[in-house]
Amino acid sequence: MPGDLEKRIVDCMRPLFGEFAATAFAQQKAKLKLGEGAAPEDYLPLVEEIRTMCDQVAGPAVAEKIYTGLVAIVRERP
Amino acid sequence: MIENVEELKPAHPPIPRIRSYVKNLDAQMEGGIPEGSIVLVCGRPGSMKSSLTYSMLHMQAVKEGRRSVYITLEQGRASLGRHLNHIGLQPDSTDKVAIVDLSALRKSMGDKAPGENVNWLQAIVDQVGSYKDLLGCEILAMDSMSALYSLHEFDNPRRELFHFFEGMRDLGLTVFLISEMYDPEKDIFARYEVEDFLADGVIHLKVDRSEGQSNLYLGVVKMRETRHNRNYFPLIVDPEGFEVVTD
Repeated sequence: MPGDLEKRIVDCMRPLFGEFAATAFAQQKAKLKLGEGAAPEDYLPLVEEIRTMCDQVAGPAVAEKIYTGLVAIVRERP
Repeated sequence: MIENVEELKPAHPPIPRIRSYVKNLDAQMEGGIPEGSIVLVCGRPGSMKSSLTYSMLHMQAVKEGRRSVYITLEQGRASLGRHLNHIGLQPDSTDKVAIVDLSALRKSMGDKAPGENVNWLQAIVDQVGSYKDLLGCEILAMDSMSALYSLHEFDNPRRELFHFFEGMRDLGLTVFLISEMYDPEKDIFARYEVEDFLADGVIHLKVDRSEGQSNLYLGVVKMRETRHNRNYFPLIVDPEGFEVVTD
């Protein structure tokens, strides 16, 4: 499940981050020490960090768009 | 009574154009830049390439509601924003121009982070395609070609740049590529001297530093599908915006 969730998060980041999406995700994941057994809710702080990154890269309007997509992915129940 | 409606149609329908909103300039090129063109905006350091280009995107957003993306590969978003505010353009006053700061990503992740063999020219074309979908933009500016070249390792510049320009063209956007000129003696508009052939238009900003003064001139060197004036006009910028002096 985390693998699938992570893939979907990276896919959601890709429109803004392009080639950097996977690296940016891995960087944030390491920073927050998210391990193998992480539950979907554990990814919410990571989503907040990604929102901050999006804001730095493209401003609040774009950050909000990506953030909304990411929150929907993390909160979606299987 | 009109017998044949076909007779009323002009031989060629008018070409949709993007107005520059540089005062007096659009009148020198049949009303503006043909939509879908790829235009090099060239000049030496300090010739206001970035400011002029951003101004065109900003005015298109404010006056016509067109969305655009300004990709900066070297100057940070905050620094660019401060500079634009200083010359009277307020990037925060519209949400229709997205300034995408890829320099921030380069800084935090390193240029080689995504992989050893990234084709940066293709990656940027793909990225712009994503921005078109994500942001619904019609106009793109990329600042600068030199910064892009510093990322990409060329084997055959002529061939690779041909595919880069064609990839950009296929996206159907009007594209401004900012190009830095280095040789003070010659008008070489871009590093590989092929970009001006591949582009549909070339706008040259020239700084004349003589007699203790520094004056700026703008010339439309090339604009396909357009009868344009080839003169260089003094370019001024004031709180009202950019203006070329034509009389």
